[in-house]
Formats: sequence, structure tokens, C-alpha cells
Amino acid sequence: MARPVPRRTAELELWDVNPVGTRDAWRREILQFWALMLTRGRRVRAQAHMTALDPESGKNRPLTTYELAHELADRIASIPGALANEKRRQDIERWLHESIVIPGERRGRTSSLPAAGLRIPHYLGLLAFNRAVTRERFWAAFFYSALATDLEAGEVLGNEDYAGIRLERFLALGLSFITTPAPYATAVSWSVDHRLVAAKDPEVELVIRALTAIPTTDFPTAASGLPPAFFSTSARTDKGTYRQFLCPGSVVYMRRAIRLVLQGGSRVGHTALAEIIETTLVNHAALYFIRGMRVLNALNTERHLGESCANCWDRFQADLRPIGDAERRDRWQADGYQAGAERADVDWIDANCDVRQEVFVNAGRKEHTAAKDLARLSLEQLRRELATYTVNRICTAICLEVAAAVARTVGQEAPTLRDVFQMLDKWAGDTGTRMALSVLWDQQIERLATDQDVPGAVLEKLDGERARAAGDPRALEMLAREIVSEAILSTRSFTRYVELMNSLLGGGALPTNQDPKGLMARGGTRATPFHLSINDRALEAFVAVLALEAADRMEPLSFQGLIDGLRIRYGLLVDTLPAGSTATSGMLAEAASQSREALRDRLHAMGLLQEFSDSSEWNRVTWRGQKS
Amino acid sequence: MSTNGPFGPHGIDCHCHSFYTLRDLRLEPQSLDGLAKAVGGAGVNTSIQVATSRMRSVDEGLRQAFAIGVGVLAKRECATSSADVPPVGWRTHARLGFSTAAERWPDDLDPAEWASLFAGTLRPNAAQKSADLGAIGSSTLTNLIRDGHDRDASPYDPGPDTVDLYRVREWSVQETMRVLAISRQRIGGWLDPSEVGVRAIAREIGCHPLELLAFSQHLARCDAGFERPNRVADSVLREYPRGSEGALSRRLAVALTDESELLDVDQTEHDLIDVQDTPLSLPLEVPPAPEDGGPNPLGVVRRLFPGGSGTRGRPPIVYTPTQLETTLLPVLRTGPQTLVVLSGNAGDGKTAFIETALRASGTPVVGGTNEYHILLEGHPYFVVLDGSEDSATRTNDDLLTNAFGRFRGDAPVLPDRGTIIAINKGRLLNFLETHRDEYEFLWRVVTNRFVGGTVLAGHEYVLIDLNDRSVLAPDSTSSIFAGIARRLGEWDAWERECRKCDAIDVCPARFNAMALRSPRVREQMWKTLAAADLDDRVHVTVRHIVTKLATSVVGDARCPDVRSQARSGRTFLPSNFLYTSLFATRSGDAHAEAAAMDRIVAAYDPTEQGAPRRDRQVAYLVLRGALQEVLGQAGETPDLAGLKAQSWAIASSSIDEEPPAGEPEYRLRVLDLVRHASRRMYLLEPDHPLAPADPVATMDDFIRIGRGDADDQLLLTRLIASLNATLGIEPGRFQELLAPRDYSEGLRGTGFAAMVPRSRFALAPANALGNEYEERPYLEAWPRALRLAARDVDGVVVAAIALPLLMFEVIDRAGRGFRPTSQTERSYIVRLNGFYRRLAEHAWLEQPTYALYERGQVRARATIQPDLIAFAEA
Repeated sequence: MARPVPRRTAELELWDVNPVGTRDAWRREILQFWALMLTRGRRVRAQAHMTALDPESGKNRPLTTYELAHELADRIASIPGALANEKRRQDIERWLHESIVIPGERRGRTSSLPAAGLRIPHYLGLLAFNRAVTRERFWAAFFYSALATDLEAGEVLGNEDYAGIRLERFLALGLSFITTPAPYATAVSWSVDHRLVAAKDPEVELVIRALTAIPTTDFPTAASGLPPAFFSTSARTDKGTYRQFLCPGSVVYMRRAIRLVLQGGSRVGHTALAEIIETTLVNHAALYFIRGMRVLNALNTERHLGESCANCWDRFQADLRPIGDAERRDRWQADGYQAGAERADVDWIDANCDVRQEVFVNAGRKEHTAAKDLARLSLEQLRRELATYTVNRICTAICLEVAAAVARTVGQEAPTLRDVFQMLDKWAGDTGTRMALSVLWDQQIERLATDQDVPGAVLEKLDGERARAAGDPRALEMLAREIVSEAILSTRSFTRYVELMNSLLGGGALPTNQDPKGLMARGGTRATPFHLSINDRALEAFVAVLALEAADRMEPLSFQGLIDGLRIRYGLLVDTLPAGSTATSGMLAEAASQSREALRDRLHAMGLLQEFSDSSEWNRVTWRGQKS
Repeated sequence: MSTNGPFGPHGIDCHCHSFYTLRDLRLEPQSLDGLAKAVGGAGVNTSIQVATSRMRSVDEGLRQAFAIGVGVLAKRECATSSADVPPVGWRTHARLGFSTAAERWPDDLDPAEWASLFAGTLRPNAAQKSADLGAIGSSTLTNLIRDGHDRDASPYDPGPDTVDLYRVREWSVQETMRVLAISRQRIGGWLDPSEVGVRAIAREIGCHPLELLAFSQHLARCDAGFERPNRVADSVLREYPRGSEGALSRRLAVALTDESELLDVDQTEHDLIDVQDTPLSLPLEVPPAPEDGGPNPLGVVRRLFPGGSGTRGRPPIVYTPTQLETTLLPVLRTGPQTLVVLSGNAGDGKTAFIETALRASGTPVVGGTNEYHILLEGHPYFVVLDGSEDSATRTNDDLLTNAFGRFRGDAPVLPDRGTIIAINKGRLLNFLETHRDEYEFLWRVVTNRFVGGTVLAGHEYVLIDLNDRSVLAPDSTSSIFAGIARRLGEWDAWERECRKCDAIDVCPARFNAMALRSPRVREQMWKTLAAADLDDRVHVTVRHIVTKLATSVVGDARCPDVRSQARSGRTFLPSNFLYTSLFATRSGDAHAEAAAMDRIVAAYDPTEQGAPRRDRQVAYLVLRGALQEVLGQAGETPDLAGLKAQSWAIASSSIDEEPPAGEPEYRLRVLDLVRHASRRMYLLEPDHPLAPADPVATMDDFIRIGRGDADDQLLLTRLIASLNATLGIEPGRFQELLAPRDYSEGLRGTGFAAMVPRSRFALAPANALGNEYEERPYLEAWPRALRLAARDVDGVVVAAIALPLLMFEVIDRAGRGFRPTSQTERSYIVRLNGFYRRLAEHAWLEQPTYALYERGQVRARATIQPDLIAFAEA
């Protein structure tokens, strides 16, 4: 049941109140994303072949991980010409069970876990996807929404360079579509070129061979496409679609990164490249969240978008929004597509954006204590901003609701995030709408006050405050804001938001351990046991993007260039302090020195930094396969 | 142009150093003649400036005489400028009114330090101490300072009769003040009767040296309360009690400058003013004489300590010509003038080479001067000591434009003037990049050499990166290290000076130096230092070797302390001897570079390698008092006494005894002694059956691969087996390298690991940066790492990793069943992670087979191809 003070503000952002818990949950989330890509935003239902009849209860139950592994191992062993005796078949089954099959959400007290899908970055793997045992959070919806218009524009304009199209081609490695994925397609069929898959990644090929083997009565084949039920039972829901992006520039950055990585990683194995893509997605999403916080906080403070944000909004928002107006396809053909993440787009954002949320990250290990402490302070600063953001986010959603009601009354179109505060202020100053607005706010306050988390002290003085603010929409809005603030921040529920941010920064799931994808590592104080860092996979992904970006410009990337790129594009500071930080200069100097040197050592150890000279300026940061 | 050194206070327009000649120095005729001959040229008419530049090669006694004379001369009013004397504060490096680098002090010594050195020259020698007072008075200054050391002589004491003889109690105030002035200013305290410098002072103020000595002693005795002062001494001591030497010295300096201003004591307080702090700077480095008057060779060697004056430019005693001097310099002398660029780290020898080039052209090295125009056998060269330096008069860009201007254009040139320049690579690259269009060809040459690591053909320019040089290459007999060690061991002062010292037979420093004469000892030291050189944690420079050898030989010893300890009969600790001091790390060392070197060398201490059986055998002998079994038949050497004393002490005690307060317990003492004995065997008697093994077993293989005379395939097979062993695979089981996707997890869990065939790998020598090694002309060099590279069938490098010696050793040990234990060893294993990731995640054009592993065991070998899926026994 919806609570008076909304915790989840789908009108604004889809981030759930509950973070993704474990790495397996993250993998299920990614499976859901792959499924959204193939179905063009529709949510699939559980497939019959992923269930089995439970003889005891007489009901269907999900296929377990053991059963799925057994089925696939049998298929591998029975491939015509395959040489694998029973002992080897058992070895393969154990490998599938432990490394390939993703366990789903536990149901009841059964000893074996249901199978949620397969850990291969390929559309064919969706044959074994069981959405019934996954609990979708926010990642899949965000990723798909962020790439959705690329798929549409790619089809309209016939451009295969867009990030969404490139990602689809990546997931369809070795597939030749006979009927292509489309928003309302009831079937997608293909043929499989095993040679191509085997050349790229033999492990993936082994699983694919199992999935494309001769079908049995229990388990179909994906040799010519997924079962029709996969598409026919899938459905579109509005709850999983973003209506607008707080920071369109960050989404364009994400698209650009995907384009570059998929353009440059031709000699990298399929699974390895998928890891880089996942890392790129998750970190861009985290940075979108951080930058979006800043945008929303500024919007609430200034009551209008800053100039740079407004420019960015004007340039990209219309073509980024998954749900657009009916005429935009025509506009794309006539005027071009603005969200293709071309080099000029990111250059424009680099130059235009002035709301970078700069944070210091420890590029070393937790043993680099000064850098670790400074990075912990950065995380604590983010936490403080998160508190403001959470209140602002909820209040903005309420403001949108109030504004929509007034707009209906006066016969106008409901304002968007961009102009909601300006419209409210305008109506508050207009004698024709002032009273209506006051009444609406008063109703909101009455409703908000019924939330069980509003402290008694607030309720005690509420009547007096309402009387004093009566007839003044701005004062009533402030009163509503105070109620929201007290209800959210004074309860334990706020820790959920902190966990959410931690999961965003931690690589997709709660950082119970250091995830190589993430920007968070263990080490801190009892209150904040983490600090911001750049873990190995994240570092490689950033290097890949920035090195490929530099290569696209026919320029080399130096070590200092990498540090500058991290700062300018992602607001990640490796050897400097963000403005307004309270750290002492001594601590900063030590932390900066530690972090910078550790970064150099790590890049060197990871084979990403090549030094040609003892001179600090003459070195090259390259990603795999790139020529230095 | 300003003046430098002692004439500094004369002001920026002073040219006194070129105006005054040797003749103007108030020296003894013998000293003057000696100096005139030594400096050559115009003899006594040689200017102070020229004489200063030639002073390095002059006999030490004459140098001291020269120093004193110049110091006195500099007190005079400036003869060449009427400009006001600028005020100069003590301990200031940038003097007021002197803003450019060239106008600063020619080195890092500040005026106070110069003054200290100056004072140090006024020390007695042994002959003087044993001579009677009459002999002092008639001796020449040179003789007073240099000759006749007698270690047995006790400090001279004129005695109370002498004081009475010269009736010092009747001295006038003026006489007293003059003596005080000299005493304070030159010596910094009451005149010590043993100071022979009193003769010079006495001569300067016109009294008899004996008077001066007598008065000084009287004053000191009064000050100490042993004698009752007369009226004059009383008033002086009241006015200038102990502790006010500094103020007194400065105030009396004024009195000295003008005889007419000699003061009455009553007026002193009002008439004396604080004057400028006249820096008593000298253009020479004068080793301090020891306080006991004995010989002081260690004082000279200590100049080679970290931060010492001997570590800048060409070092004394141990200067060893390198290929730069032996091959490049002749080319510059005979060939057409060209461009020579020297780059490298501090201490690599850039300045030393340039100094040699300057000497070869007959050009004196002038402190603080950065640019020279020289002629090398008729070939003009513009020489820049530091191409990265800024000056107030012109920008660095101007300097570089001057240096490189003749090499503009898009083709090589044969200029009318060559350039020899030492410059930071980054600065050079930046300059050329900024002016890339102007210096098109030079830009290509420099980037090819310093960035790409290749040499562009078709030009005669010489680009030297001293980072590529190894002071340990190629071996223990012909490396720069060998030259330095040999020269230090064979320094003549170990004979000439030490023969005059009564501690010669027990002195640990001399023992250490004598040990250096042995090629076997040098070879053992070379092994240790070569390991450090091939360790990628430090770039070993010439300066590193010089300071390391000097500190290892001398340690903390000072000649007077050695003599004092020898007289007392106390034995010297084993830590004073080379075999232990080589591995010592000095705490509180302000020189980070040297400290880093110490730490790395300490990591190669042979006793740190676990050899339980050998250690037990040595300990058994030590505990039984049978130390001779361990120490061999080398005869009675100075270190044996200390070792034996420790051994006997241990043998006569027991593990059950409570150690004395502050003393280590029994077991620690045993371990300590075993270590000393083991190190001694390693360094001095490496063939002893109980001598520890070399700390790096693979060094020979490593060097052989670098030289190209090893069986690469055999070593590659061994390396792959060792790498597989780090994953728990028994050596020899697979010919291929197993590459799991996550090397840090090893073969935990279950998954497929690519089995990359040996034919895909190549092992090649590499430089310190991990790039392919190339021979460089004019440099002693060797590969500092091995480069293991994997290539796909199309030749694309899939992954490459540089293996420095220690990493090679760690991997090899893994093949022998050892697991990395130390932090450093583990960090090397972490480095492999990136290499393995690239191997495992590469889309190979020619599919490798795969190992299906499960919980550390390889279950099957898998072939996964479109037309064949096969699982076979591993």
C-alpha cells in the first residue's frame, strides 16, 4: 500500500528503496536487462520449460540449479561427435552448476535453489531465464531506459553505431536474425553461427551448444529462436520505464562509453568484454545517481534548472526519453538524432557541464591510510548530500503532483521537472491560482501528516504552523517539506537509502565484500566501514573508455591525461581534493601522493600503463589490443 | 657578474678574485713558491680566480695556505668596486641582492659551514705538538700544518711557567682585544694552546705566537676558575662570558677591519655594532683534521658519504673512467662537432662526465657557472651543466634555444659549434614538442630515442640516457663498481696515512679497505649489489655505489675514535666490519635515496635465506667455542677479537641464565653471532663449506638470458612450469601455461583455464621499463628485466610482463615448492594477475585447448571447436 510520504518516486526516478543484495541478485538483474533488450522493454513471464511438477504437492515448481545443470550437461555430452564419457559429463555438470547457472530467489525451505538463468552474455542464454524467481530492482529498468531510444533510432535511421544497437549485436554474437526484435514482435527467429562464437569465446560456445541441441519434451532448443511463448506472454508495464532523466548528460556519457568499448574490444573474449560492459554500465549508473543528486538539490535550492543543466536538458532529453512523442521519428529523419553519443556530444558536455559532483577516490588499497581516510570523508559527504537529495526527491514528486492538479484546474499541460518550481511560484503569485494552490498544499499536508513515521513533536505543532501558513503556498510547501524531512530522516528507513547508494557505488550489489566492478572498498570507521576507491575492473573500464576516446581523437593518453579524464568526465579525483572539503592540507598532500602513486603502480601491474621514459610525462595508458 | 666565494661580501660588481694575484696573499715565501709552481701558468701573477679553479689538483697543505691567505685578503676593502657591501646573513643561501642561481653559493654550503671548514684548517699536527715553542715560531705555515705527525705525542701544554714568562697579566686592553678578536673569529672559542693556527694569527696581529698561546691558556684557565684573572682579563671575561662567542666574534670583526678602531673595554658596549655576517667562504674543500692531531684518512673517505661534498661531480679517491670518458670523449675530440645530450637520474654521472670534458679542454670548472664555451682539440662546444636550470637573466627556453639552435631544421646538420648538455628528458621533450616545427628532425631523433626506445639512423647526434647504464654491468671485474671498489681499496692513504696511526692493526675501516683489494671479496659484493641493480625497486647509480662502499668501509668510525678505542683495549663490534656493514640500514638517514639503496641491499643479506641445517651447524660450533672452524685460517684479523669475545661469552653462559639488564637474551646473542659469522664466510671465504649460498639462485641464469647465451627454450619451459606451480600444478605435468580467468583465485572453484602453448611465448631481455632491451653505445649496460611475451599467430602481442630478477627468482622458487611469503614476493604474484587476465580473456585466432579444473585439480583437457568438442584425461 502506498504510504503518504512516498518512498519510491517513480515520477521522478525509478531507484527503488531496496538495494540489490547479493552478487547473484545483480546477475539476475543483468539477465532481466538482457531480456528487456530482446523484448524491447517488455517483461517476460516464467517459461513452462523452466518449471517441473512437484510430485509431493502436485504443483509446478521452478527448475532447480542442479536440474538445469544436469539437463545442459546431458545435452553437451550428447552433441553428435562430442567426446565426453560419463565421468567427464559429471565434471561438466558440476562446472555448469557452480559457474554458469545463476541461482534464483530462495522459495520456502527447499534445500536446492531454483535456477534463474545462465551466466552468459548472450540472447541464447535467455532460453533458461526464469523471471519468476528473480526480484527486479532498479538496474535493469535504468539500463534499458537509458539505451531504449538508441534501438529505436538505429532502426529508423539505419545506423548501427549507436550504443544500444552495438550492445544488441554484442548479445547476438553469432546470430543472424530472420525476424528481428521489435516492440510488439511475437517471435524472434535466428540462425546460429557456432564458428563465430567458438572463435570469440569457447566457454560461451559450449553453453550455446547445449542450448541449441536437439530439443527434448522437457526442454526446447534455441537453435532457431526462443520459444514463441517467451514473447507472447511478455508484457509492457509503465513502472519500469523512465519518463525523464535528471542528468541527461550522464546518460549520453554512458552511451558513449558503451559505443567505444564495443567498438574497440574486438580482440577481447566475449565474457571478458561483457564484464567490462557490465562495469561500464554500473559505474555510469552510479555516477548518474551522484550527479543527479546534485542536479536535483540545485533545482530545489534555486527553483529552476541552472543554465548548463537547462542547455543539456534541451539538447538531449527529448531524444533520450524512452517514451517520446509520436512525431520524433520524423524529426530524427529530418533533423537528426541528438542522443547518439557522438564525439561532439561528449565534448559539448565536457565543456558545458558545471554541476560535476567531484569526489576523491582512493586509487590505492586500504593500507594507504591517508588516501583511504580522505576517500571515506568523500563517502560521508555523499551521504550528507543523499539526505538532502532524498527529501528533495520526495518533495519534488509531491510538487509535481500538486502542480499537475493546478494545471488540470487551469487547463494547462502539467509542468515537467524542469519548470515545476517556476510554475508553482508563478501560480503562488497569481491571485487567480494562489488560493487553489494553498488548498492543494493544505490537503497534501494533511495527507502527509498521516504517515506513521512523522514524529509526534512535528504533529503537535502542526496545527499552529498550518494556521500561520494558511493562504501562503510557499509557506505551506515549506511546511510539507519539513514533514517529509522529519518523516524520512528521523527514521531507520533512511539507512535503506544509504544502502542503496552503497550498492550503486559498490558495483551493483551491497558491498558486503569488495566488488571488482565497484567504486567502493572496505576500510573505514565503524560508522562508515567503506571508502570510495576504484576497484580493478572499474579501473580497467575507465581506462578502456578514456583510452578509446583518446584514440578516437587520434591522440595518445598519458597517465596525467587519464587522471584529468577521470576528473573532467566522471568527477573522480585521484590526486586532488574536491572544492569545499574540510581535509587538512597535510592529509591531502599525503593522500594525493599515495593515491597517485598507487594508481601508477596498479596500472603498471595490470599492463595498462607503458612507460617509455623516466620522465613522468612520457608514458601511455592503453587498453588491450590498442597500439600505443 | 658577481663574485663568488670569499669575495662575495664585496658586492655584485666585485672582481677582486680576478684582480688580486697570488702575490697579494700574505703567505710564507715557501708557501707562495709552492703555490705558484702548483698552479702553473703565470706563477705568482696568477689571479685568484684562475688559481682557485686549479686548486683541486694542488697539494693539500698548499691549498690550506691558499685558503687562509684568500680568507684574509677577502677582509680587505673591495679593490674593484665602490659599491656598498651588501649585508649577508648567516646561514642564508640566497644572499640579498644576489638573485640568480649563478650568484648563489657555488654549492650547498652556506657561510656558516664555510666558516666551520675554515676554522677546521687551523689545527695542529703531531710534529707541532711535540715540538718546543721555539720550533713553532720559526716553522713555515706549510710545515706546521702538514708534516711530522706523531701519534704518540701528547697534546702540547705550555705550562704555567710559559704564562709567567710572557707576563700576560700585564697585557693592555688593546692587545687583549686583538687576540680575542682573532681567537673568536678564526677558531670560535678561546684559543686552544694546541692550535698551531696561532702562528698565523700571531703573525697577522704582530705578536709572538708564544705570547698568543700563553695568553690564550691564561684566559682559558681564568675562565675555568683555575687562575685568578688580572684586571684586563677580568674585564674581558665579564664582558664576554662563556656562551657569547658568536656575538663577540661578530662585534670584534669590526675592530679588526680598522686598526684605528681598536676599542677600549669601557667603550665596547657603545661602540661596537652588529655588522654584516661576513661569510668566510673558501673555494676549496678542506678535510677537517681530527682533534687528536693524528692522521685522518677516514675524514677524506667520509666526503663520499651521502650528501658529502665528494658525491657531486667527480668523486675523489674512487673516480673511475666510464665508457663515456674512454669512448665518447675521443670521438668528440676527433670527430666533427655534434650534439651530445645526457639525461638520467641524480647521481648517474652527468656532471662527472662534463667535468671531464671541461678538463680535457683545459677549462676550469667554476662553481655556480652553468654554461661554458670550450674547445676540444679545436672543436668548439657549448657546454651546459644543467639544461633544466632557470636563471634570473634569461629563461630556460632561451638557454635551450642557444644550446639547440644550431640543430634546427628537418635534416641532420654539421654545426660550426657542438653542444654538450645535461638535461631532464621531460624538459627536453617538452621544449622540442613546443618547437616541433622548428626542430623537426631533432624532435624525431629525440622521441625515437627517449620515447620509442629506437635509434633513428642517418645522424651523428649522441643521445645518452644514463638510466640505461648499469654500474654493475657486465661483471665483477670490469664494471664501474669494480673500478670504484678497487680504487677505494688501493687508495694510497691506507698506507701513507695509516702507517702513522697506532690503531692500524685493529682499525676496522682499514681492514675493510684491505678486504676490498681481494678480487674474491669484490666478486661477492658485486653479486649482492648486482642483485640490487636487477631489482626493479631502485635504479642503482654511480653515486649509490660510491656512497654504499664508503659507508660500508668506514661505517660510523672516525679516526680519533678508532684510536681512542684501540688505546682503551676494547674490541670492535662485528657490525663495524664490511661483511655486516654492507647489509646495514642506517636509521635516521636524511638521504632517502641512500636509505632506499640500503634497504634493498639488506634484502639480499645471505643470512636471511633460510638454511636450517647450515645455521644449526654454525650455531653448534659457535656454542662450543669452536669459532675457528667457522672463521677459517685467515690468521689474526682485527674482527676476530670481537667475534671470539662474543663466542666465548656465549660458550661460558647458558640459555638458563638471566641476561643483564638491557642485554639481549642468550638465543638472540647466538643468532646474532651466527649471522655475523655467516656473513663473514659469505663475503671473505665464500668457498667455506658452511658459507651461505648466494641469496639469488637464479642470477646467473638471469644474466645469461640477458646476454643471449642461454638456452631460451629450456629456460622458458622451466619458467612455464614454475608459473604453473604457482597455481598448484606439479612441474612438468603440462607443457602449456595454464591461464585461469582470475589468477588471484587460482584454480579454486570450477572453470576452464586456457592452456596457452609454449610456442606462443618468448623470453627476451628487457630494460628497466619492461620494454625490449637494446644495446646502447657509450654505456656499460645490461638487461634489467626479462620480458615474457605471448603473441597470437598473427604476431599481435596478447600479453607481456617484465620480470625483474627478484620476481624471476620468486617464480623459480615456486617451481621448487616454495610459496611467496614476504610482502614484496606476494606483490610480484599480484602483478601476474593482469598478465593472466589478458591471456585468459584474449580471443585467440588459433584456439588453445582448455583445462577443466575443479578445486585445485585439473579434471580434463577440453577442445572446444565448432566441429569438435572433446574432453580428454588431463
